[in-house]
Amino acid sequence: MTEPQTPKQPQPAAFHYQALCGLSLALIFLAQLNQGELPLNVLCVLIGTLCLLSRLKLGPILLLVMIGGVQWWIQFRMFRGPAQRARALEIVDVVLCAGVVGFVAAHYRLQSIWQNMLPLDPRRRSGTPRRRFPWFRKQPPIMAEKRAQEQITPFELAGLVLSLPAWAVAAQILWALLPKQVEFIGLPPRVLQMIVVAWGLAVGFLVMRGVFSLWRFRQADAATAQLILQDALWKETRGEQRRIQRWLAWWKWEKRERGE
Amino acid sequence: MLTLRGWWFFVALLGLLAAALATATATFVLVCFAVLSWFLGQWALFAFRLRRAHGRLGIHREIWDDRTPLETLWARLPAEVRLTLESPVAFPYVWMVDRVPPLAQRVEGENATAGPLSAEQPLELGYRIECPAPGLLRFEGVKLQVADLQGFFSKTLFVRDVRVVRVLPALADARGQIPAVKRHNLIPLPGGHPHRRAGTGHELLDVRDYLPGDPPKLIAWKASARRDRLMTKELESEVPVRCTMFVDLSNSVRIGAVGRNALARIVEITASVLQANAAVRDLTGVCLFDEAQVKAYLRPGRGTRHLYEITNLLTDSACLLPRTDDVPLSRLLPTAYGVVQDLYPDWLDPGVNFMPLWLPFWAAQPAYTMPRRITPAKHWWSRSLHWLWRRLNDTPFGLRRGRASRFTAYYHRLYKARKQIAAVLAVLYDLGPGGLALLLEDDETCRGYVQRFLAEHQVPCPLPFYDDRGEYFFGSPGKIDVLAGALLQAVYRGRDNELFVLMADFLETGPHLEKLLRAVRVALARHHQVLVVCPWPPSVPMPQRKKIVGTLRVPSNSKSALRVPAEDDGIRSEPTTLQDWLGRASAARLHHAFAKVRQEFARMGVPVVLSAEHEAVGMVLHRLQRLRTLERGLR
Repeated sequence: MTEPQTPKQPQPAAFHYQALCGLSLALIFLAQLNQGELPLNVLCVLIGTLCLLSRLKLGPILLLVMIGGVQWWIQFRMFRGPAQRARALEIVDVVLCAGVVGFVAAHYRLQSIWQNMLPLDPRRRSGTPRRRFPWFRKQPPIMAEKRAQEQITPFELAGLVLSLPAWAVAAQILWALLPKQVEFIGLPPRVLQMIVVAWGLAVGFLVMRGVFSLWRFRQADAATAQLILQDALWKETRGEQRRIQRWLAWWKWEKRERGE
Repeated sequence: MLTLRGWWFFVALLGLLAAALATATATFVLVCFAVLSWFLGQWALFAFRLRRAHGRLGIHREIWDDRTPLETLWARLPAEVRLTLESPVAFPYVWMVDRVPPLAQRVEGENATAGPLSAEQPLELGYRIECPAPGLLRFEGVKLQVADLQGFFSKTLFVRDVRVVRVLPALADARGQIPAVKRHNLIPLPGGHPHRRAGTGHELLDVRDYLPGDPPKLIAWKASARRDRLMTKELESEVPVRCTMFVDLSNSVRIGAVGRNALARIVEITASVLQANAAVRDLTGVCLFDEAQVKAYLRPGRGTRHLYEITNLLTDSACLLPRTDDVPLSRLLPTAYGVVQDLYPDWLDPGVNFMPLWLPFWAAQPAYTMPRRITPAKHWWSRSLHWLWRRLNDTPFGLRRGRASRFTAYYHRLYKARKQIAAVLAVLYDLGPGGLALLLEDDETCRGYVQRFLAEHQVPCPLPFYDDRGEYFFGSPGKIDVLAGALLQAVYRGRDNELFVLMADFLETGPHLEKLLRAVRVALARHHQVLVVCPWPPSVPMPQRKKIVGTLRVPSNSKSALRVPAEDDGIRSEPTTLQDWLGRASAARLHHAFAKVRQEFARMGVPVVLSAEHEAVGMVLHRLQRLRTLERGLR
């Protein structure tokens, strides 16, 4: 008796991330087209497509730079110089942000499949030795740990797509929190905004670091806790400990030399 | 935690955000905020998952043969390692590699795998190993590298799960063939006569003509009726043959990789002789000794329990690594640091094991605590000058090599490695609050603990073999006295003619053999037999022998085994490099030492064989056979 054959489910592959990149580029194109800029917009999408097809590692950063250039040009064309304007929640901005985040995330996930997922370890080498430069010695190439296409799941794709609007809304919230048209001790608003962003990031990092450190200390096992305490003691008394231990080491050698 | 890719992206993003804010490009600021919030969100999620998974990752390891899970392995028989990594926290990508113990060789499958990990989807791994020699197989655990889907964040973890599995010696017969059907047989087969001398046992040895005086109860009536004359049954002697093996565990035989050194070969020979003797119900004892003392002595005995007791003893001793006080600490630290990086990556984190960058410049090790050669004054009148010179050298004004080394990057790396290793070892070996400073300042203590740490993890460290004057570090003449004492004790305890097999390295002991030779003479005077098996380094070609040692008759087909083909010698006709010259010189020196040892023992009629020879086991058994058939009962 033959077993009934279940229809094989189509597995997501790298193609799906490429499609997501293409879709994100389309969103970017539409959003910027709405702002009334065609030639630079087309150039931006073309560069994005080229980065995708050529598997360029710097592709996402290049696209971000291009979008920055386009937006600066639109701003310059509208206001003839840097100008601040108050913005409410605009659907075009949300679409643009979602498109950019989608492209960046999908492209980096593709890089994990095409290039390497984990940092390269120079100790792990395999293959025929070759020179990177004529004056370098021959070495086998470093093994790159890539992610297999079969490991892509529908959930991660769906999760990424569904979370895109959330990041766009988060950007809007951050923008709303940023002080605008406010002067403080004679600083122009732009400088003040940069200071606020820098301080926000620094404080945020410190708080998160503190929280995770506390969490780690609470989770530590007995040996790790002993190591932490030992290190704390050593930090406080290393001068005294060093002096005592050196004296003991010297005394040991002297004793041996005297033949005692 | 941030990878190179993550750093580049984060820095570029901050730069673009700054540019957007500077040019007041509102839309692009929004775009940068969106990307930045996504990046920071991924970072927080990754850190959260790592913290949540801390201490909750578990591995389940099983070792299987073809059918069942195993608790002990056999050398030269393949086994499959099955590993499952379980985690209650989901990770999108985990790369897992199992650390194959040094004793084992991976013969099939990969010891690494990668993929997503979650409570419903554990990560599984399977590969086949084979151990070429007996010993202890130490599985440390698995190394994990966790990453996010974009490759921005990565963290190396190690899930410690130490499991030590005993690898018993291969059950081989005298010719070194592994039996396929029945592993061992402690009861002699019907018709076989392990004791060929007539005696008062129960097994029939022969039927012969009746002689006046023979007991009537031994008359073979059926045979007498057939031949029409009186025949008498002859029974075999049941006095067993005893054999005591003296196994050298000193540093000189431990040199080399685990399972591929002279000690592994000695253990293999001992186990083979033990099994062969057990098959014919002979008694075998073992004496393990090193340069300091007799480690263990088991009197000749038989039975399953005795067999396993000796086998376990040999197995536990087979993986010992050499240890010396003469190795500079700077040679040990890089190896130890690599092991700590692999096995205790979380203990090198600056949050728990901090190392100030400026400390090596400020608190470099002073000259007066460094190990130095003690050279006493040659004359009585120069003692004060000698003392003054030493004190001057110890001051900061003294001129000596390496005075400015504290400013080099090498010294800085070494100091950092030492501090972090010292902290880890102080916790591992429970040295107390001052243990860290002790290991940081006292070279001798630190060297001892680092060697112990490496030996426990079965990692061989690079050792020097000779000092500045060309003297061998591992000659250890002390073991001669220990062996001589043990041999005399065995002779004193011996009940009957025994075979004493001395498996010890005498090649580098120099002129210290006299005490042992005296003990051997005592043994020979008591009608015991002595055989010397000399451990031989596997990488050095064996000396070519034109004649067979002693009076042993070796089967003709073994002649080829004693001769080493020229292409296997490792010595080319014309050495071209310095390494070739050194290899040839040290091989010639060992050959000369072996010839000298053989000559010393040959004067007393004691044969000397090399452990690397394939016939070493056969020669021991041949000597036992001769003891059984020819010299039974002569005292």
